Parts: sequence; structure tokens; C-alpha cells
Amino acid sequence: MFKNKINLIKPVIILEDEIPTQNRIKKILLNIGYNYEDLYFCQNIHQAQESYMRHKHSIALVDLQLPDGNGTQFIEFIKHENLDIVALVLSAWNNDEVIINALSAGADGYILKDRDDYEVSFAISNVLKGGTPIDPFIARNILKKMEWFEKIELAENLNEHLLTKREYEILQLVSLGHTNKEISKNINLSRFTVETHIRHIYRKLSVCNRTKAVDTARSLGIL
Amino acid sequence: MQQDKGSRYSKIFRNFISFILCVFSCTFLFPESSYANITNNAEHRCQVKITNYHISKNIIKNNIESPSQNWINLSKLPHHWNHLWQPFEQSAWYKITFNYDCPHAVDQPVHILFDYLSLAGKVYINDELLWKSNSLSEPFSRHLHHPLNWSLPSSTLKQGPNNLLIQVFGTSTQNSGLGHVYIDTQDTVVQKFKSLHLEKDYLPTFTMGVNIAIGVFCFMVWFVNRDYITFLLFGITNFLWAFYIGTIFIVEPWKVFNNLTYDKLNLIIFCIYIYFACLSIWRFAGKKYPRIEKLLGILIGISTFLVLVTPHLYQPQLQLIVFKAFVAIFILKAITYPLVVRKTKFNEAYWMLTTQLVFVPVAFNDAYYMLTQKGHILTPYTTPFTSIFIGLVLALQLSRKSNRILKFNKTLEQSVIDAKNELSESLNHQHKLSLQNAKLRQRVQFSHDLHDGLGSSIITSMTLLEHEKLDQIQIKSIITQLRSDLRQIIDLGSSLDSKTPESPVVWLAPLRRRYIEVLESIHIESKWIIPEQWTKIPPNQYCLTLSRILEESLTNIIKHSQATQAEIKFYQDEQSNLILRIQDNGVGFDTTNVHSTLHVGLSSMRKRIEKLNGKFEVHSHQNCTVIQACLNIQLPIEHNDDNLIT
Repeated sequence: MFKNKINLIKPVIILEDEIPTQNRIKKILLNIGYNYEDLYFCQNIHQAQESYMRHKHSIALVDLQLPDGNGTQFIEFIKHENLDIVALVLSAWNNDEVIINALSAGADGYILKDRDDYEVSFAISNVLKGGTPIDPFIARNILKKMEWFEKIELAENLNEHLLTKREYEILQLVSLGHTNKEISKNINLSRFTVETHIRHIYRKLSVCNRTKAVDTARSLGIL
Repeated sequence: MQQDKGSRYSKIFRNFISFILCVFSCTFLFPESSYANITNNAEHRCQVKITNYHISKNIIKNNIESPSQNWINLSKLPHHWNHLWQPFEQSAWYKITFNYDCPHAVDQPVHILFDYLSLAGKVYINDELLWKSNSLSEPFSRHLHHPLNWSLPSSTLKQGPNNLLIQVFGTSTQNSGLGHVYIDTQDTVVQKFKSLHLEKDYLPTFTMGVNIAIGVFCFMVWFVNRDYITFLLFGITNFLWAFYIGTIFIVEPWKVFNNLTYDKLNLIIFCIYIYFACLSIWRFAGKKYPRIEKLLGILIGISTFLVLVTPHLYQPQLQLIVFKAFVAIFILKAITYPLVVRKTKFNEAYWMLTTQLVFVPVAFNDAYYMLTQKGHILTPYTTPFTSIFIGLVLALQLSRKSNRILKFNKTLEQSVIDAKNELSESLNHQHKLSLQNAKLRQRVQFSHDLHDGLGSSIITSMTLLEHEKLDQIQIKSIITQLRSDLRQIIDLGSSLDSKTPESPVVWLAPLRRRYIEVLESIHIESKWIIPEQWTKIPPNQYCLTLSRILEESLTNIIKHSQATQAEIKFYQDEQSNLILRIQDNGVGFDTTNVHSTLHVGLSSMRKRIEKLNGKFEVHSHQNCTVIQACLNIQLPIEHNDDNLIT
């Protein structure tokens, strides 16, 4: 369905503990155009770390609930090893908070497992084409979070506003359901620039996350 | 000279007090020998012996000459002439004849001592003026409680009989006359004078000072804390007593009053003093006797009135009665004090009781003295002690009160802390409760959502599975539907508020963004027509149902329609209808084919809409398929919970 002009990033590590889901992902990836030998499947974080050290994958699909911990740990690990690796969360029945947490840990995007195969397939190929998955509810959540950071004057410590005016604009449009294409048309930027902005937003989210404020915020129940 | 008739107890008591005084203050020497008969002889000394006393009335008015006749012989001194002549004479002469026998030329002065002279007078020795009072006209000087002492060189006296002539000016309201007269060369007279001076000059002054000091202290306490009425009363009592003592022992009265007015004033002050004394010690014990106090007040009012208006003639009797009455009240107050403090819990009341009991004999004695001029006045001896004692007792009470306040403050502090803790505890508890409540409400809501959403989907699916012969794809489609329903419930449950989205745009934004890109990637151009604002805010449940319908329809379009264009339109009409219309130009489908995969989705959608009393329409032709859902938000939702039971 979505096979045109996809630049496959190889090799792929898939951290997923359930075999049926592994098979489903395998099928989807093979369908996109991957070869069987490009795919490395792991069932727990320990295995995945070992596999990564051996094969230095370029893209990771990570489930969050794993037998020996949370997938975000692995994302943090690989992002620490190589900032350029593409880390995607394979989210199951998770809500937006879980996704935001994963993004804060450094994830580049997320794929909702419970969607139909065609949607999962579309999401993966979208990422491979350089897109950045973002949902309106995620955008709204980030906006709320950033507003809160501004409020506690964390921005002053960072010497600048957390989000640029552009980034705010883009997030707001996303939250109203506009596609990246529509946004780029709307504010006269290339679609690629819009995607870059979103990636920046994600990175800022992870920067903020490193500050202690987040813990405070969590304990206050704001996040 | 004879020993005084002062009662025996007073002597003992006085000696005791003077002993203490000697111990505490060596400046006061109080010779016990002062009572010895000072006329005892010594071989080698000059001898003075009083031979006789005479009295005569003043015959020549305003004349300083002594009368030459009508001398009445007196057996002894002191003597008061109040009742000697009728009517009362203002002035009288006393003549004292004494023998001066000094064989050797001994250089020894002769000492003369009057223990009092009521009220004023002049003294001549052998017809030469020795001394006279400052004021011999109204108001007279008052030597009523004032000892007088002269030392005469021997040259002024003759060997043999000498005359001491005294003109005395008196008043009917006081004992007018002359007190003891001592004439001797011995030092005992000087010592006697010293003791009298201590008793009638130093000590009263000291007493006044003490009383004023305590009075000021009490006033200060009251001034700082107006609740301490007891202190105000004690302050007044102390000042009145100081004033009263002052008026009694004063020698040169103010020129504004005559002697009668002065005595009246003196008596009135005494009455008021008694009133405040009663009030203060009762209040001290924490008692109130409104009736007795009122009666006492009235009594004082009447007495004052009578004292002020009664003519001169009856003043002596009246003043005597009033004085006696109030002394009686004073003694009564002291005697009954044990009853007053009987049930009192604090110790100071019992200390106070001690002072009151001390007052009883003192009052008896002093009243006797005041009335007869006989014996010794005890008040000057006792008052410094009792006053200081009362001051101490008051200080004790004050400290007890402040201790109590301190304790109370501590208790208060503790109870504030306790209350705070309790409050925060109960707030925490409340908070927990409300959290629990919120959780419970959420859970109820959640189970309701499960029942309404997933529950009814499962029922529908089961019915389908039971009655129709379905292939694997159709079964998968059913399960997919169930999964989507579950997803919706989870999304709803994880969002903080299950309120209706703020606008249709926000409501449909997730679906719009999710599908638009998928549609685009398979070259279906989509057109979304969504109003900016609600014209009427629908319940969230309606939005959710419509969301599911949109999701289903778009999935169908993506999977099956092979369309190139799609239009999604949502609007609200004037009849409060929510209308969702999805149109595409795809291949369409056979709406009557129950075996198609589409059928599962469609029938489920219809069921949902019908449950909310809405209308669901499907029209499908080649190049045009329209799915329209219409929900009226004013119609009540039909709850057929039986669905789950079947």
C-alpha cells in the first residue's frame, strides 16, 4: 500500500516480549521492504543491550512493558550510545502520559500497536520517510507541559523560552488536527521544516525532563 | 503618776510589735522603762513633785490672762472637760503646781512632757509664756495625738512651788483637755517622749507611706489590667486609710476647714474606708454580697448626710454613734471573714484571713483609744506589717493569676497545636475521602462506559456470531470493532475529565489528523467540514458514539471503497440535532448483504445510534456512498440495561 520511495534504515532491532506481536511486526516490516536478516528480535532489555553492542542497529522499535523493566530504559541507553539512532515506541494500550514519558526519554516517535496493520505500516513508513509522528492530543499535552515550565520560570534558567514562537504555532495547529502538509502550507514552510520543528520539540521535552522540575511536577500531579 | 488603764492584751501585743520593730530597725529605741513611775526619788538628784492639778473655765473671752479664782481641784490627769460645764466651753485653764527641790547646784534641766493636748493651747511657766500652738483660732492646731516636750534650765524654776499654767482650746466633738503630764529631771521623761513620738509621729507617717506605696502599686496593677478590680479596691482602701491616718495625726490642719468640719470629714473618710475595706477583701476572696454591700452603701450615705446636716449641738453624740457603728462593722467584717473564705480554694485568702483576725483586737483597742484617749494606739504598730502583708498577699494573687495565664497560654498553645493537627488530620481524611469518592465515581463511570460501549458491542457481536454463519474475516472484523471500542474506553478513562471537547474542531482533531494522512497516502482526497464552535454543547457520550462511527466509516473507505474523494461533514441544526455525514465516491456496497464484512460494522453502528434514539442512514451506489448519523441531544437516552443480561 505504501511502498513508494522508502529509504529503509538498517539494521532494525525490535524489542518485544510477545511472540505473536513480534510476528505481526515482522510481517509488517517485511511488507514494507525489509529483509529478514535486517531484523533483530529481542524479548528483554538485557538481550537487547547485548544485541545492540554487537550489531549497532540504526533503528529500534521498543515495546514499553518488558519482563525486566520499562522500554524507556533501553531508549535512554541507545540514545546515550548513539544520538542519531531512530527510536520508536511500540505502544500497546498506553495512554498519552506514557507516550510523553517515552518522548522525554529520547524517543523519536511512537507507533500505536492496537491500530490496524495498515495504520501501523503507514506509521512506520512515515517515520522511515523522515516524518515525525505526533497526535493532536500529544501536541496538546506538550503545550500544557511547556506552559507549566514557563510558569515556574524554568525558561529563565534555560536563558530562552522553551518553545519558539514557530514551535508553539505548529503545536497549536497539530492540536487542532491539521496535518503536517496543511501546516506547511499554512505557515509557508516546507514539510521537512515542520517535521524538524516537531523533532526539536521532542528534544526540548527530553531536555526539560532532565531537570528535577519534572519530578516535582509529577509529585504535584501536574504531569 | 499612775499606770494607764490600757488593757493588758494591748500591752503584750504592743511589746511584741515593738520587739519586732527593734529587731528590724535599730533606729527606734523603745524603752520598757517608760512605764515606770518617773517620780521615784534619788538621794543625790533634784526632785520634782507635782502637788496638785486645777482647772478653771476661761472667764474673760479673748483674754490671755489666767483666771484668779474658780479653780476646781482635780485628782489626776488626763482630764477632759467636755462634760464638766454645760454648755461646752471652748477654752479652759489648767494649773499644775509642783515642788522643785534641788539642794545642790546640779546642772540638770527639768523635762516637761504632755502626752497630748486637745486641741491647741498655750503653756506658761511661772506666768512666763513657754510655748503656744501655731494656730489658736479656727482651725486650731491639733495636738490631740501629738506629744509635747520642753526642757527647762534650772534657773527658770524657783526652789519650792512652781506653777505650770496651760490654756487649752478644745472642741465638743473631741475629748478636750490635757493628757498625762510628766515633770522630772530624769532622762526617763525624754525616753517616754521618744516612745510617744515614735508611736504618734514616726510610725503614722511611715504607715501612710506604706499605704500610699501599696495603693499606688495596686492602682498600677489595675491600670495595666482593668480586669483586676480587686486591686483597684485595695488601692482605694489603702489611699483612704492613708488619708484617714493623715487626718488623725495631722497637727496643723488645712486652713480651709474649721475643726468641726475637719472632724466630720475625718469621720466620713473613716466610713468610706470601712466600705471599701469590706468590698476589697470580699472581692479578694472572689465573693459578692450585693444586698449587704448595698445596705452598707446606704448606711454610709445616711451617716454622711446626718453628719453633714446635724446641728452643732448634737454633733458629739452623733459622731460617737457613727464612729462606734462603723468600728462595729469593721470588727464584724474581720470576724466573719472565715465564713467568707470558707470555701475558697486559693491560699492567699487564708493569708488575708490572718490579717483580718489580727485586726480584731487592734480595732477594739484603737477604738477604745480614739474614744477615751486612754491607753496606746496600736494601729501605727500593726499597720506597716499588715499593709506589707496585704501587699504581699496581693502580689501572691497577682503572681498566681499570671502563672495561671502562663499555664493557660501553654495549654492554649498546646490546644492550638492539637486543633491544628486534628484539622489537618480531618482535612487529610476528607481529602482521602474525596479522592476515594472521585475514584469511585470514576470507576462507576468506567463500568458504565464498559457496559454501554464494549458491553453492548459484545452483545451485538455474540448475537451476530450465534445467528449468522460468519467467515474468519468477518469474525476478525467483529474483534477489531471490539478492540476499537476498548481503545476508546481506555482513552476516555485515561483523560482527566470526561467532558465534552471544547469545540467540534478539537473533538475531531485526533481523527482528522490520523486519517487525513493515511487517506492521502492512498490518494484519497478528503474534505473536512467542521464548525468552529458548538451551537449547543452535546453530552460527551454522543461525541464518542459519533467518533466511533466516523472511525468505522473511514476505515471502510480506506479498506474497501477504492474512492478518490471523501467528504466528512459535521454540523448542528436548529432542532438540536448532531449530524455526521460521510460521503465517498467509491465502489459502494450492497447494504443488504448480511455476509459482508461491512455488514458487521454497519449493524453495530446502527445499533449504537438507535440506542441514543438517533437515526442512522446508509445509501450506497456506485460512486456515491453516504453514511449519515443523526442524534438529537434533547431526546432522553434510552437505557436498556437488559442487553447485558441476555
